[in-house]
Amino acid sequence: MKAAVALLLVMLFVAFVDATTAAADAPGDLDAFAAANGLYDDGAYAEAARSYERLSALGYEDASIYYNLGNTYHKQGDIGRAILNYLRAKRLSPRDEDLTANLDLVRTQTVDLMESTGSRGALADLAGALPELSANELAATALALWAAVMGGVAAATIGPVGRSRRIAVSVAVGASVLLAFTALTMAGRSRIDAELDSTAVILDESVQVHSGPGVQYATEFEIHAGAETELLEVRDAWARISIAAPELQGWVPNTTLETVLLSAIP
Amino acid sequence: MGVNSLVRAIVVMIVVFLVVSPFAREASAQTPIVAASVDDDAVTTDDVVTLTISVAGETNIPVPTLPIIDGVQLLGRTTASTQTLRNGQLSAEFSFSFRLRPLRPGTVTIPPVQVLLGGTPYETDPIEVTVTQGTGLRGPGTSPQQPSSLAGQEFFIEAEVDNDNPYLGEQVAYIVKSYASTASFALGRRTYSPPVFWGFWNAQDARRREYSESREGLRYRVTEFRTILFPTVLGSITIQPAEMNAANTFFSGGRPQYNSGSVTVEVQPLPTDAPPSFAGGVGDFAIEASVDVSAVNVGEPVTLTVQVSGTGNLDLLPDPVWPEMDDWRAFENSSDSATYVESGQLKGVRTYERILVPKVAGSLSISAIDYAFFDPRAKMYRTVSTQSIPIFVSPDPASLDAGAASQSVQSQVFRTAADIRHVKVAPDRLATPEPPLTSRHLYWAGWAAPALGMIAALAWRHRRRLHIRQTADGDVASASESALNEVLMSRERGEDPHQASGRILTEYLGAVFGRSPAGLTRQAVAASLTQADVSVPLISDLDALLEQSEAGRYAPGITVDPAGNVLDDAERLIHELDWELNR
Repeated sequence: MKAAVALLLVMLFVAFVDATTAAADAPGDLDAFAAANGLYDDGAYAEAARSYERLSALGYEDASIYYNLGNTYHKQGDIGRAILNYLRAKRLSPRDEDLTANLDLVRTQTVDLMESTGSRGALADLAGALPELSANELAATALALWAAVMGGVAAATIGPVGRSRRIAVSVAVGASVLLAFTALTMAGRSRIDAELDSTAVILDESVQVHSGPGVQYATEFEIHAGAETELLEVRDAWARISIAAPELQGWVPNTTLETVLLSAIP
Repeated sequence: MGVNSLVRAIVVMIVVFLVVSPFAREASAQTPIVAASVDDDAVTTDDVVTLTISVAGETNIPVPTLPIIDGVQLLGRTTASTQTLRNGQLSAEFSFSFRLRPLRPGTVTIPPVQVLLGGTPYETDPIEVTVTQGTGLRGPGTSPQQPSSLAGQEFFIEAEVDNDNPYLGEQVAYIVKSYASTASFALGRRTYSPPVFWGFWNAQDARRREYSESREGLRYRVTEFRTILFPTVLGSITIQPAEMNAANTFFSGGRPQYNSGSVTVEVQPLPTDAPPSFAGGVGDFAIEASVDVSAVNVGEPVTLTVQVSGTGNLDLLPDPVWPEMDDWRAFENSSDSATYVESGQLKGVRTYERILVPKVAGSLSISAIDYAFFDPRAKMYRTVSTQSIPIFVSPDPASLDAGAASQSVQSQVFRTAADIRHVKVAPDRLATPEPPLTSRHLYWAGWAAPALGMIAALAWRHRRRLHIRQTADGDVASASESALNEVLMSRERGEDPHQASGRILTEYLGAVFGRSPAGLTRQAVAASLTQADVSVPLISDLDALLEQSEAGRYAPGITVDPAGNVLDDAERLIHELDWELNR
């Protein structure tokens, strides 16, 4: 009985984790990826970028594609698109050390110095303090812990008295605590992901930020390529953005920026 | 006081010191002190007042801007600074001295002087100076005496400037010439009193030029007195007449006073196309930079000496705009100027010393320093620059591992450039977008599965208990009746109570649970009764009685309980079990 329950849990966990990384089988596209890497090695950065962009346009959402795209744009001096693609890769692969290193380096090369405002809320801070797990990884972990809680309770209920029952109770209590912690982390992670999804990166070298959606409105400040802003609203051809520190907001043409979430701007 | 109390007191003092000292140090390091003072607050129009603005606690201080003070002429400014390193904190004290000349009697109020430190304005207190009329010099408000006429005079003086339309800050020579007839005017004692140069910073040229000149048939001995002026205000400025007391012989009794005419200068503003690094320097300058060492360790100081030399007002020369250098910590040490007059022009060198401390090891360089100024002769702005100075910085020996330091063939590896990491190889598979796990029905079904399993387990347990109970229901009544009969019969037979009670209870429980009495150990009995929801005290009593029965059978010498009570207890337990199992 116990073996059957354990096997069921393992199968469920494997099935869900595998579901998060489901992939298409396209050897031709993998060849195109390798060819793009070759172009990069030859210094043909613009051609390499076009190849990676074609793969992205085919519907792939792979952290490696965005990471390599970030590199090609950086090599071409396009800091804005480099940061944008690194952020898109980070959304898919938050624990990639190479990605974090490149993003940190490129952020030092922007014109605008924008500091974080600090706390994004207790839940987000808790999530940020933990080893970065993706939302799907956290969801799978929570499910596994829930199964452990239920299994422990069941074993304590129907199992024989004595040491086995004490172990079952311990497993149930421990898994309950971890489950509560994971649930809080999921809430924080959800907030971080939502923040990342609404992040818009300035792509133009220099953009004037107006007080309203049009050039007839006063220019309140200027922002430069690579600046990470929060997209507040899109109205026709204009996007309303805000930056954290200093706390400013205004309108820019929506052709001058792109969001980390691909479909955020129509 | 005991030893423990003493130790506790010392520990408390150390903790308090460790907690408080950083705050105290920080507070002392970060609170600048700005103060203003004058060397004398009761002066005459002949005197010069020195206003000193002192700033302590900051290492990078801009020159304070002196506001317009009514009734006072600014004659010049000097700067002095001292820096000290105390408790690991660099502190500095700057003093800016402004030489002021009161122009008229009355009360002069020096308004608060603002010093901008790190973006925060600090102001000094206002100072009042009482001015009384002097005896020697006259202010600009007084009526000048008419200059002496020239024709045929044995002695007269004239005043002129070499440029009556200078730019703001451009050097102008104010020349007073005394004419003494060689025929009748012997060289006697003369006293030259320059006018008050309101609107100018001035420097006296100590050397006098003498030559002969003929004017209207008379031969004169001409003596030139020069003052170098730098306009500090725009517009029309009238320089009041100069005065000279002169006697025609050493032995003549009187010393008549002679006056020159007044001179008017029109000061024009500088062109508006100034470069961003222009700070106000006017003249013709060159810039050089040098360092005291070309190779140092991390954390060791390098003294950078920058010299701005040339023609112009070097005493009031604005500081260069120091370039930002991320690899260095910079501390302003001192600045000083040395001037001299050559060919009627004020020239000299202004020397700046800065202490630079490298933060990282490697082949570093001190960036080129630009200096922008306005060249009035060329009528254009010019920028001169120093050369970049390479400095080789070795790692701090103290920070190296002792073992590594002892290995002469090894050296620490330093990153000399930063670049992004390389592209990733093609993965085994390219991921396609997938909806979040939490948006899948299967995921939530996964949450339901363990709960359903739990429910199934409870149902299974319930069903098992029900089965036990149903099985027992039929047998319990007859089993208990039979067991109670056995108790009566064993008493009548005079059977050993321990043996009888053990046998009767085991047979009873075997009948209840449908199992062979031979296989019913005490542990098995306890487990079966627990599953049948029999109360724990009753299970304990039964277990104790079975144990007592075994003890009576196998160790008859040890009587735990009077034998008669064992059967009574067995009878009671059968009743209670009968009741609980049929509950």
